Amino acid sequence: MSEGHEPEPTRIVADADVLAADLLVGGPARDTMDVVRSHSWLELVATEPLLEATRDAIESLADRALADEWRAAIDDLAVVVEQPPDDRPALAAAYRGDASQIVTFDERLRSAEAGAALRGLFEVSVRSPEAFLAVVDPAALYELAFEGSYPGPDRGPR
Amino acid sequence: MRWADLFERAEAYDVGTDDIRAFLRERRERE
Repeated sequence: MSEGHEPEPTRIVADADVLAADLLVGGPARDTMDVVRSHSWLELVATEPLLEATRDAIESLADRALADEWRAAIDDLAVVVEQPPDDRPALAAAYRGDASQIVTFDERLRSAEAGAALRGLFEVSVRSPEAFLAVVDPAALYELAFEGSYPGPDRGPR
Repeated sequence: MRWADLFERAEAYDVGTDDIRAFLRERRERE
């Protein structure tokens, strides 16, 4: 399964819980997405089921108009990749979209056991938003990906 | 401005991370 999978340091998956919390809660989820939104070279990778789960959560917990406008905004930001029917959306997005990071509140996905199982398939780091913010440095990612000095954020996050 | 506008409108709702996770968990179980 790992054949042909080359994780890109600039490709990041935000799970549905993080995407919904970005909009409805704020805090570390929004700070994480602000990092993505403020760097045009960081790519948010998603699948259609992941985005639809998020949209449904927003519609249920807030309202349909907000959910629809969120969907239009995220469609401009995200790279959408195919997801096989029975795959878990965040994992499918990471594997199919060559992402190196998954950001999620789901402890099961972040557990040591899940991490070991994933490493057998492909290299991906699974972190909470808090851990992502503590560990992931856009400057280091930029230098790893482009072998140049980090120019700083290149667009407004909001 | 687009995201700032969405965040401002979302402030009308009192939603926590646990509410989101519970909704997503129930949605997965329904599928």
